[in-house]
Amino acid sequence: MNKISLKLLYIYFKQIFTGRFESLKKANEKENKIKSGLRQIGFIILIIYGFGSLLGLWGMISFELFSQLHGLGDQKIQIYDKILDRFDLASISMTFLIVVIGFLNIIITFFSINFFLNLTSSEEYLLTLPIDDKTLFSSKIINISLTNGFFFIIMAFVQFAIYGIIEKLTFDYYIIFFIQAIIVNLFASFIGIAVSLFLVNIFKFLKNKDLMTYLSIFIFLPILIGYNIAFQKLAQNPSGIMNVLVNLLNKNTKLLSTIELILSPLFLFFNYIVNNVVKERTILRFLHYLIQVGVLFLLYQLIIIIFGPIYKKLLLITNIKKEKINNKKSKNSSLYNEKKPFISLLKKEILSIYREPNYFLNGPFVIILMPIILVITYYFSMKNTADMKNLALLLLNNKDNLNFIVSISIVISFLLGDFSSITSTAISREGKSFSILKTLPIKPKDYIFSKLTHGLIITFIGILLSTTFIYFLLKIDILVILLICIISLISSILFHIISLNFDITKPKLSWDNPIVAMKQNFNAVYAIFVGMGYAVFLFFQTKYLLKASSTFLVRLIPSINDKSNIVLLTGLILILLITSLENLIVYLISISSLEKKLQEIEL
Amino acid sequence: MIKIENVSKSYVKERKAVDNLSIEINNREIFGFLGPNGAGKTTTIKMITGILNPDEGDIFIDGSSIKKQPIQAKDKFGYVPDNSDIIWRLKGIEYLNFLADIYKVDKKTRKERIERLCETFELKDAIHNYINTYSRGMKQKLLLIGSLIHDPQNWILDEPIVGLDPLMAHTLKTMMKEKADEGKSIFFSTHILEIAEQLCDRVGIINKGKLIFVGTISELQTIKNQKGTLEELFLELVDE
Repeated sequence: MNKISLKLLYIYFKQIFTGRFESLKKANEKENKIKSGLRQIGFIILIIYGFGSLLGLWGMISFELFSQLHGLGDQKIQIYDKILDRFDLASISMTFLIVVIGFLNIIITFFSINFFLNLTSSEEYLLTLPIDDKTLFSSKIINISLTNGFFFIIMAFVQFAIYGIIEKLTFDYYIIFFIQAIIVNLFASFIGIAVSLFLVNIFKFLKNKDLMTYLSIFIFLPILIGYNIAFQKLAQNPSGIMNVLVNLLNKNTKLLSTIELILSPLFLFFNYIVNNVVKERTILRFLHYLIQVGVLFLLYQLIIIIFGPIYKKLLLITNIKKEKINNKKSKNSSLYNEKKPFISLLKKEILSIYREPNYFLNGPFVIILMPIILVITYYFSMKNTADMKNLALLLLNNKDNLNFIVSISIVISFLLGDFSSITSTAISREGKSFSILKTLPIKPKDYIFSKLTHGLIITFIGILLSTTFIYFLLKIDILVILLICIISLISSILFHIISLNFDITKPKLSWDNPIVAMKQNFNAVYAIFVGMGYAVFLFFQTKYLLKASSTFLVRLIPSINDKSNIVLLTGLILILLITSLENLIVYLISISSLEKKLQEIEL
Repeated sequence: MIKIENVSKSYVKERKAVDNLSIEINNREIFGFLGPNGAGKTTTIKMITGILNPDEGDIFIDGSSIKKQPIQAKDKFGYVPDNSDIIWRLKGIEYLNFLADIYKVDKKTRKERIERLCETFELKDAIHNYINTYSRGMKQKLLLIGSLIHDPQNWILDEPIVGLDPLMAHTLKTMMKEKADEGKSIFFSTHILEIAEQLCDRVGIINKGKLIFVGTISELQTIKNQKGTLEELFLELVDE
């Protein structure tokens, strides 16, 4: 790496920092210091929460596994002709887990290669400067490896750190393993980059961003579902994790030898470290570490030499498909049909989100996906769900429990219908084109309505899927299900108003990459937090109103006590009326403020 | 008719991007808005079109205030921005129909106008393609067509020639003259002084947020007491 590539790397990281960590910026002239301080604290809490929830399960599994291995003490386990102690088993686990992490890193790198090959307008300018291919490429490699690998490095380090804590290891162990986490992930990223460039060079269509985005979902979906099922099963029986490992090694005759054979350098290293760090300290482990760094450096140089020119060549290939001239369409007079401004705005909104894969996959697709993941997970853990089903039937026979089940169903369908960032990024998605909208005679109410309606359409799909799932699982009366569906939908109005309020207050309009507007937009996170709080409120309100209405009805007409379904339906109609009233009040209070804020947005 | 009354705008404290600006653009007039980079041209245009809100003063489009009656005011002008940032994933025809819906142009009229304008600006063959496949010049043409879809009384253009080939630039200049002859007012900003010299009935020169001259080129020559090109007069005025 020369001076220019380091400078480029600095620019790339600065871009990432200002894009993703904008909320950590100091207060500007227009903002007061208390407000900016709260913003910064909130952002840090969000990061900790976000990473904490993602890494929590991973950490828990690692903790259980290494604790159980530690519990073995000096006891040894025979697997085939090998006698393994707890350090050997720990090494095998670490090797296995680090390979899984590396594999995921390679896949992520492959699917993000398009952001590597499709430059932003400011990056395109770099091509006009007298910078050689290798300099440009070397800085990009490190940039993509560290940004993609960041989470995996943390993931790898978490399991090493947990092992260190359980075995009460000294400080140097953590340093060695932190470096190890970086090395392994850099290695995986480099392999990912090389494989990706090789494939894109052969199959040029892989440079198509839209195609790759959709393709990534078909690859990640089974991984996501598999991860969900595997971790759910492990979490159900954490005390048996070590047995799972031993059984896995016993059942798969080739697994142990494969780990030893193919992954021997990694396995030996882990084995060496976990053994020697406890038993004795030796200079050899540092030698091993140096060898890895050397191999990594050679790989890096090799990739630059081989793929540097290919990278430059691929950068210059356009992937925009020239469309054929179609004059027949112009003769179709329905093309020019008039529409009301609100309908036209809604149409633009729908077309824009469905034609941009990043928006579609992070919006409507998530809403459709979540109930499907639930159904698949349910199917694969049938044994437990059968118990759950029996339990549900038992609960449904008791009036109080029935209220609980109905309240939970409303909350579940509300959450599954609303947990996307469609409305909380609705203004940001307009990007620089928002300035065009501002010059048009659009009534703010029409504009806000189109955004809310679009959000509610997607929510309705999610609610419909989740209530169908609940119906087949619990076999609740169809009228009750229908009311659950309507209550969840009406409750969503409030959620969408709050979500839109976040984005109208602070939209993210300046971007080149649509991901910035949706995935890297913290308005979505804030909205989801508020949505979670509202879901809790919704649960308690439903439960309380169902109980109160039932008590009131029974007191009024004692004979109705036997007709639990009528009592439940009456309660739900009452909830429907109250929820509608709440949402109407929120709408009436918010609409003028939303209109005002919309007009105040400046670019 | 566009009337700008004592308009000011600041982005940072103690520095006005536009300072107490007042201009009136009459019907049947082509008004050129000139100034060096960062003088406040785009800020002024953004305030006229409602993208930015003026800190002080007001702007009237055919009598409607952009601050108090924004919908009525915006209905009366067509605007061509200085960049072609249409990022929506729409086809050209969908974008134009969207604008026609917003301006409430009836089916027959919009069909006739879209077809005629696409013919004039040579965009007929690409109108059914996605905008993101367009070149910069094609996007500029689409924005020009969109700004005329409702046949506005006032036409506001920010650096309209940039991105257009010489033939299209000529077509646009002819169209600007035709619109003025029809009784419409045209307000445009440009860096190309020759174009201002050829086209404008009057020019306004802005520097450091302040309007330093409004009038015809011959008035400018009289004030400066010298015969010369607009470029020479402009440079002298801005230097002062």
